[in-house]
Amino acid sequence: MNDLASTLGLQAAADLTPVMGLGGWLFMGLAWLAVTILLVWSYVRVLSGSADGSDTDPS
Amino acid sequence: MTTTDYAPPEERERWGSRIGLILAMAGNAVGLGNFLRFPNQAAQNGQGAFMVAYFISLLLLGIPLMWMEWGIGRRGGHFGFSTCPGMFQSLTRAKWVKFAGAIGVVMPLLIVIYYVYIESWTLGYAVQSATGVLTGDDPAAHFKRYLGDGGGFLGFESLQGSWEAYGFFGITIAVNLWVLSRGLSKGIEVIAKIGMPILLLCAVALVARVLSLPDVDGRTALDGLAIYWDPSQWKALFDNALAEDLFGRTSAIIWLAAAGQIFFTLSVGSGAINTYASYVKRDEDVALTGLATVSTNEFCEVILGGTLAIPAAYVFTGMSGVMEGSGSNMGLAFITMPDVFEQIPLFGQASGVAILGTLWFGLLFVAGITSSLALSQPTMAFFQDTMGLTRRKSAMVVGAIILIFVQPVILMEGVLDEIDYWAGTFGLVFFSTIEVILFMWVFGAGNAWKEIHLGSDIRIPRIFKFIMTWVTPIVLLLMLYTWGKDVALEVLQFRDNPNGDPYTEAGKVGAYVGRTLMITLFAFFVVMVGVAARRGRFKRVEHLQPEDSA
Repeated sequence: MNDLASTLGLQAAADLTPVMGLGGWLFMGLAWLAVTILLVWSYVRVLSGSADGSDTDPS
Repeated sequence: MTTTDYAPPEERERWGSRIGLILAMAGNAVGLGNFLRFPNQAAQNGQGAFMVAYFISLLLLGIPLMWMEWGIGRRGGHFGFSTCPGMFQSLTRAKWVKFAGAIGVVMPLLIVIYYVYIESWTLGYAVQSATGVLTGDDPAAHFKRYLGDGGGFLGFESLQGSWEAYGFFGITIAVNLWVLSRGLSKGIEVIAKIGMPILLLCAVALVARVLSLPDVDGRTALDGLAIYWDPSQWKALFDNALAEDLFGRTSAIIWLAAAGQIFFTLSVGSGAINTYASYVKRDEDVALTGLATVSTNEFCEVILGGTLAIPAAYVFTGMSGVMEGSGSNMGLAFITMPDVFEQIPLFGQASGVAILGTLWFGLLFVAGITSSLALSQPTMAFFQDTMGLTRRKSAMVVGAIILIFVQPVILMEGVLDEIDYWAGTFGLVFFSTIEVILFMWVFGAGNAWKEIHLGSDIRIPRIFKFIMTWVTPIVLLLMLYTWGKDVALEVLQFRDNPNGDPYTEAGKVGAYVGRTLMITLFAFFVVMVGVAARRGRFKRVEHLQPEDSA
């Protein structure tokens, strides 16, 4: 795996290492939660509003 | 041809089911942008700071524009129009707006011309992964060979391209046209219903593998997630010196990049959403459906797209590898990822390229085709309901245009980047600005609000009326000003290319060709709109009042 880094001429730079920390986990957790809640809520509303699979075209 | 030759509204195509519509619309939004452009943009433009600007842009620009385009599209469809020239004319009596609407036909066509070509690379790479061609090969050299990058194609030093790339492009365009010619419910909707679950399954399988990767030199995939979520970088949004120091970008560029990603990922500002929405019945909900589209797209982008390429690349190549991979347009997808898969043992095999590469490029192909179908549909619909062509003939005309205009994209350096910049980046913001002003100010905020809520399953919070009337247009105008001043002018005057580097001689020629191509297509569609107007196609909507609904 180190071969890969050397192949690409890359060297991991310690000063660029990202740090998650508690704030990061909270940020990510909230964002993921908000997106998931929006997804589930909207699909539940869509499906409950069209129990029969909802044909939009009566013809 | 008389006006009676055109299909009246009652004969218009319709979606087969609401869930089919949502999946097709989500398929439109979920594309290469979710899995390729998003990680690239986030890594290069502020990382943790980018994400804050991204969510703010989603709330102030993305969601409001999504609702507006659904509203404009459904109203246009009610009067028998599936493209922006007729839709815009249904909002105001000013006759010139139909010509501004031509941008909403040209732009998705311009985007699809190069998008289908990139989509074909994903098909080619999926096949080559599955058949073992990629296993053990040097990804950078393979990608260069695949594209014929370096010239020499057909014996001409200045031409790039390869028969391999042409072959997969031919297959991709043929599949696209076949689906388009089958129509909405039997073509696009069927592909969305099959494709979206496949896409989700592939993405979830890859995410599971990425998150379970062993650490390499102390780096884990969870550490890689910090690239998006590190809150210590937020200050760069308001601190120019810090932004320059950390990312080599001004704070304004970080904001513009995040907002630009929202446009690209949601497909707002291209005219494609308007067209899909035009096939919805007049009294059918668009507010909830629009929100479901946004939520599907964001799930695929923030959660799935964000957990794939960057964390995997981080584990094996470290931060410098992530920055190098995401720094070139397609490097992360076609060079870094195959390199990473090569290092992941799977099911007793030393290399995981065959399985993981097939999943990755297969996922990208499905994401790509559902988007390219949506981007092709406005032009299809224009020829059908404005020029009176049948679906099959319309598909043939669209195919012919793509086949002719894609040649310089394939063969010449710089054409793809130039069109991508003007149509796929700047154009989206420009056209959105026209839409917002027309809908919220000319048509009127009160009428627009009523239009969106007609038959709605939800009440949109009233704060969004204020946002749509004031905040969205002001932010868009500010973006246009900043972008025009700092970036677009540089490109327009050939100082820097869309990637921020000086133009090469070949790149400059490609840029000229790209601009000529764009102007030619725009002029063609303006003339077509004029021809349709002379034949009385827009008469029915030229004298409408905003409150007219029948």
